[in-house]
Amino acid sequence: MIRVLIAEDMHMIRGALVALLSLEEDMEVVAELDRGDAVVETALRVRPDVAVLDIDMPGLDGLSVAAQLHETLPDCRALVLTGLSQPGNLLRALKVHVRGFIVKDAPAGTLAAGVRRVAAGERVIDPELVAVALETGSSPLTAREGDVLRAADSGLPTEEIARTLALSPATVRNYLSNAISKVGGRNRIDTIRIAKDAGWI
Amino acid sequence: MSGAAVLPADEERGASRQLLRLAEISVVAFVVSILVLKPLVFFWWPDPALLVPGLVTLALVIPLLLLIVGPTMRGRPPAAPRATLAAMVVVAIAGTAWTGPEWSVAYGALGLAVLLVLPAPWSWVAFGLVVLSAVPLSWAYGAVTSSDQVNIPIEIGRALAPYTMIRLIGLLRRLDAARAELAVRAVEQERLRVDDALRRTVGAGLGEIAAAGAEAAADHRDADLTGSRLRALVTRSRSTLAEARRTISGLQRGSLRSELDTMASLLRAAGIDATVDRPPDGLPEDADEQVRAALRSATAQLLRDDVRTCVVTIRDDDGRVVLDVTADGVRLISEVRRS
Repeated sequence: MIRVLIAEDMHMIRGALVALLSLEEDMEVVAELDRGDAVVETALRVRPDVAVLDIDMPGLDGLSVAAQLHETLPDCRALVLTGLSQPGNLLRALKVHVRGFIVKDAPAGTLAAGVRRVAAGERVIDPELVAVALETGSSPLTAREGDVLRAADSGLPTEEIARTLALSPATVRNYLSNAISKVGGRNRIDTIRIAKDAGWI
Repeated sequence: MSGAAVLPADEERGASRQLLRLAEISVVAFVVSILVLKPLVFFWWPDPALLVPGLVTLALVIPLLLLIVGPTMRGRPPAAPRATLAAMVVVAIAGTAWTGPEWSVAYGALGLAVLLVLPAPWSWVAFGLVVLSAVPLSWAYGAVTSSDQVNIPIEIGRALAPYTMIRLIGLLRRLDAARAELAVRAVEQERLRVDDALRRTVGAGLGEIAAAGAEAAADHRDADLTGSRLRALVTRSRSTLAEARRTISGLQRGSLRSELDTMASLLRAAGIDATVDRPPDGLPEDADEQVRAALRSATAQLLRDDVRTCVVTIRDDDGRVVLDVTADGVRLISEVRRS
């Protein structure tokens, strides 16, 4: 029996995922959550074989959850549900040892089959997602520029970002300016939007 | 979040436009003050007999000169340039006849107009004649002085400095206009391409879906038949969705080099020791869909199979792109060529 944890903030979709996987004879949904920051704690308690994670969740995004799961519970394999509009997430997902990366609008049977294959130790990556990721290209941002953009996205002012990342405000402004230039945004907000849509942050 | 930053490219564009405007103003100020007003202050003002004719002729020369300088700096041909130049010549002759050889110190303005209006090399010949005419003119009036001789190279410099600036500003304006025109054309062509791609793929698919939906809705008495039609409709809808994604991805397509770099990044992120060998002299940017499809397929396969090492070799063989992918020593894809 494959023990599955489901984390998805949208109630109806979470309900549908639970119902769908509960129909499978070889699967048992052992936990369902609506927040990313509650996953690791719950996983340590219920010990799932596979964690099915939405990529955008309140508290903590699916990829950060996957990274934490890999650290704290390496036997639990992460399968992330994403949209095709964020192809850059594939690179981040592979870096944090996500074993499954499936688009949300794939046929229903794909998810159950994906959970089975991930539980068996295989890697399941939607080929269409790979194609879109290749066409979109890898992130033009450096790791530090990504950090600064993520911090800016959380609403922090420049001085606060500088304090959080142990940088000077001038360096933060420099990173932001570089990011704006590389991404081709009109301004900081537009750059954050482009980078998020592409899955670069 | 603090105030939004502006794209540096926009900043640069704005700064260069401001600089161009400043250069235009400077040139006009230079032309008016050095070429025209300076004679007024240094030669005519001290002599009341020359002041009135000097002022009258200046009042005629300045607008005529600006009629030529203004449009040239904006990258446009002046309206009736030869007639304007002829009018300037008439004013110069009249001014000289009225005020005497002192008016020749304003010939620099006429020389500048000659350079801007007449085609080279005749403009340079005419410019030389205009500037040098101060010497015989002074002789004719019997007033040769050493300062007349010294002033000629200075007058040449005074005319050439604004001439160079005016030509450069005009050239920059024309370049700016050409770039804007090209951008508009590129957008138009892109729109046509997008329109064509969407009409051929998504448009046709949606048409078929609508037809299949109408067929399923028209007769639903036979549950099996309706079910079968709806299943076909779902299949067609999915295929249209995939087609739409492929089309949109194709519209955003980057270079083959970018796809190879991303491929290597993805494989390395998955823990695969990936090596990409490509020709040192670069890759063709227009590798066809067959090569790109092979790359995508190979990447998906390599990620799925969890291989340990892979070598991707791509080379340009006499205009044909040759791709080889080897995983854990086994050749995965070989010799995909551009037709």
